[in-house]
This record gives sequence, structure tokens and C-alpha cells, in this order.
Amino acid sequence: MNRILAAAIIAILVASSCAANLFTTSRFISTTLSELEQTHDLALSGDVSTAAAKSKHLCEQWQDRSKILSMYIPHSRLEAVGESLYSLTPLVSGDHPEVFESEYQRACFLTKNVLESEVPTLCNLF
Amino acid sequence: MLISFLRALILYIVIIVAVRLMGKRQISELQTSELVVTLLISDIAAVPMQDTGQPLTSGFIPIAALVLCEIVVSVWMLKSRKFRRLICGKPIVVINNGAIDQQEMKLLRMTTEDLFEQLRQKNVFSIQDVAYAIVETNGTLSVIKKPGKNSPNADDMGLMVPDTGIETVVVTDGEISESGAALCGKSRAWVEGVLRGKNLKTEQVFLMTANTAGEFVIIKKGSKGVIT
Repeated sequence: MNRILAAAIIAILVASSCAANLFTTSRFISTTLSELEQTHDLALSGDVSTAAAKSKHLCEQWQDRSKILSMYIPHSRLEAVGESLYSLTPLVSGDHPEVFESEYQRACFLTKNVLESEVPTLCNLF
Repeated sequence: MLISFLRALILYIVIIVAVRLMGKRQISELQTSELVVTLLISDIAAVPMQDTGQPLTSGFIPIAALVLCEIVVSVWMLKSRKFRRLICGKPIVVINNGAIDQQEMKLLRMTTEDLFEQLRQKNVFSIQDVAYAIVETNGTLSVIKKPGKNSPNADDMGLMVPDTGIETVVVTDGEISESGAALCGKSRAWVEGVLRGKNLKTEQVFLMTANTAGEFVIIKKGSKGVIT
């Protein structure tokens, strides 16, 4: 009977932590993506100083978010996103728009990938 | 370095808890499902223990899921005979009424060497002594000897053997084990009384055993002699 109770508690804990992890990841990733898009739009519109500030702020925020996400996501994936976000900041100046665009696309892809790899889809399962 | 050490400690605690939750069994007594889970848990725990880039939860969640499955399967096996047979299989008689069942041995992929090795482990050195040999679901061999090949016991010889009940350890390394004493129907006061009668303090005793009939054996610390 005790063992069944323990199994029930484990089931609840595992289910709730999995749901919480997925919810947190989804929230963090969507916020990061929208901020990334705002930075991109600002840079394209020529507001370089605001875009640079936004990009720096995004990097700092990603560092904080990584601390939570790294509790259940392999650190290498989070580090890849971090690296991409940091390399985006100096490119905001607009000197190399094609490099900036490419790095922006890369950051978006890596960020989306963090969430996509956590969603229980058939592709991820097999 | 410190992180690896701390992670290993945490995982050790988690594995101990997981194994305790699954219940006590010796490795040789593990059923198929239990053996699989035990092997998987040790394998899963090794990854986050070695790779600090892997979150600890990537080890915890699969371990918790496996323990959960193991408990559910064991409870289900208790409730359903069909399910138990599906998971554990059924015992197979390889020697039936003194004759080896070659078909069953072939199905088990059991060689004659395997059979004889297991028979020898059961103190049977001639196939002619065996009436029945059964391969249990956990892989161990149960042997029933032919009636004439069994050692006679007290009942066979019509002897009356006094029933001394269970013998348990009541003092170990200077400490009274109340649970051990209770198991043979004795109390702490009884143990202390016996020790007083022998002019001994509890701290002086290395080992003391007692049985239901009240017989006891005491071994003093640093002494090879036995007090009865």
C-alpha cells in the first residue's frame, strides 16, 4: 500500500515537473523570440542605439533564463543560443547587414530548437 | 571536480531511494522486469554523473519513471495471474519423473553443461538422483530428489527434536537489538537480566544470540570463548 502511495506521489511529481518544465520553456522561448524580433526590427529601421541596448538586455535576460532552463535542458543547446545572441550585439550597427541577418536567423533557429526539442512530438520521441 | 562529486552524491541518494522503493531482492532472485530496471537505472545515472553538461533532472526523471513502472508492474502482477505469466513466464520442468525433457531444454536454450552445473550447485552429483528439476521464472533451478536419494530427517527416523524456535541476534557490538529480541519473544529486560546473571555489561558483549526456548550464546568483545 505504501509502495502504491509512493508510486502515486512519484507519478504526480514527474507529471507536474514535466508540465512545469514545458510551460517555462515555452514562456521563456516565446519572450526571447519576440525580443529578438524587436531588436531585428529596430536595427532594420536604423535605430541602432536602441537596437544595441535591446540586444544587450536580451543577452543579460538569456543568462538569467539559462540558469533555470539548464536545470533540465542540456547545457550545450543553451550555450549555443547564448553565443549567437552575444555575437548579434556588435552586428546591430548595420555595417554588415547580411551578416546581421544571417546571425539573426541563426539565433532564431537555435532558440526555437530549444523549445522544439522539448515538445513530446513523434519526431522527438523516435 | 566538486560539481562531479556533489552530483555523484545526489545521484547515489536517488538510486538508494529508488532501489528501496522497488523492494528487497537479491540479484540472483530478480525477475526479468526487475533486472532490466536495475540495469537501466545504473546506466541512466552514469550519464549525468559523468557529464556535467547534462542536467541532473535528465537522470532523475527516467529513474522516477522506471521506478514508477516497476511498482505498477509488480502490483499488477500480484493482482493478475495472466499478466504475471506474460512478464515473468512460467516455471519449466526440465527433468520430469527422472527423464530429461530435451524439448524444453532446447526451448530454454539450456545446454547439458548448464543443467549439470546448476545440479552440482544444488549438491546433486548424479542425474539418477533427480526426480524433478524445474527452471524457475528467475532462472534458478529447483531440484526434487528421488525419495530413496534424500537424506533421512528426524521425522523419517521417528526422532523427537525439541523445538527451539527462531534464533536471533539480540546484542550486537555492545548494543541491544530490541527488534531482534522481540522476534524470538524476548524483551530488553530479559536480555539485560541474562547479562547481569553472567556479570556482563552490554558494552562488553560482541555478539549475543537467543532463541524462543530461552537458550542463548554470548561472545565477549576481544574473546574467542563462547558463554552459554
